[in-house]
Amino acid sequence: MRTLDNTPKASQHDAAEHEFSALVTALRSVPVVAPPVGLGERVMVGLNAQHFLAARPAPSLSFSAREIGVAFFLCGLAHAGLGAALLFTGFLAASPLVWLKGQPPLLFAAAALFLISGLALFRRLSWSATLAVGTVATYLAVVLGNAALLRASLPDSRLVAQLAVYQLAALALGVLLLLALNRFQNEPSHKRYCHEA
Amino acid sequence: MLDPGQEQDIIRRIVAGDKALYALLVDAYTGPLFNLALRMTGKHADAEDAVQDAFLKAYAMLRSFDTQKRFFTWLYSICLNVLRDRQRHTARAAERFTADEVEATPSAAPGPDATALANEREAAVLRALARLPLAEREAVVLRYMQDISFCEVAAILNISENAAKKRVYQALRRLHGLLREFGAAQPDSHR
Repeated sequence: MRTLDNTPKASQHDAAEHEFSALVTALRSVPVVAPPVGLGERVMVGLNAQHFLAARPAPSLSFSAREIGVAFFLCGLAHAGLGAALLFTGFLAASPLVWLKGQPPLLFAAAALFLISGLALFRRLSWSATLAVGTVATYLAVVLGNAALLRASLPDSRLVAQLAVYQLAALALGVLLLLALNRFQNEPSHKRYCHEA
Repeated sequence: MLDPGQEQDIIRRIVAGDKALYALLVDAYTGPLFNLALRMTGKHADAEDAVQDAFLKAYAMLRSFDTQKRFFTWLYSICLNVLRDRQRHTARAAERFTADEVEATPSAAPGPDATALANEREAAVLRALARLPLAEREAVVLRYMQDISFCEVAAILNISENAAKKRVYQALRRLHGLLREFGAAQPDSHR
């Protein structure tokens, strides 16, 4: 591509081009390589395939807000359910008094947050809203769960650590799931299109 | 090569729904874009993939293209972004893009001696080029291997014209130093 200005200017750069004139000549004389035969056609095939796929109703690799909401809801439910089971057995094993200190309501509050986020997502929130609601709900659940554990002053510190690790792992899994869904949804490869076409 | 008026007309019609016309733009720019990508990556296969990606992205964003501007500067910007992304994703940053990886490019030189000398010099230049920092390589490839004006290099790289000149100057100095390091087949230059 040969274009426009080559008018001489008394600039530092022009001096530099002169200074390295042999190098500039060598750079300019590197031969132009012909593109592989059919590259342009492959681009158009990829483009047509992309349009063909885009025109298809609900491709299997694309997730709607509802599906993401369901995934979130199930994750939240599993999180709350497992947490409840752990707390139930852990607290009961540690001290029956925990139940009398009003800790279960905190756990249920966390579970309720997940329920709320899941239900909200059923209403087809946008992707960013899905992420925001889910993240906030998850963080709140973790914070509330930990607060519940700390306030319970369990005699068994290993149980506290175990639950904290569990909650953080659940959070990390949730984030990874979201990232995986997002990647699947937004980054289809044109090569796959080419092959499918 | 299409003139800017033709390009604008074609782009308007593509945006209006005549997708097949995009083939004209692809035909016109496959060669330059492939050479740009090849000089940036040093690999034919990588260059091909980058060109495909760039054209697909450009098509997807065609509605946002300002037809008062030059299409090729916009397309080149997209291609360079694709190349940067690919290098980031494949962990093949400029530092890891070693000189030995540069694939030879078949050249149509005449006699055997002249061919050997030209090939040796070309190989040295390409090896040195591969050692340049990414930003400097972009500038020098655009300016001298694509023969694009400083004004347009600046537009493609989204920097000022003076910054583009400075970058090219730095690249030339570094290239000169690298060729000295390599020793053989250096363009007999520095005055």
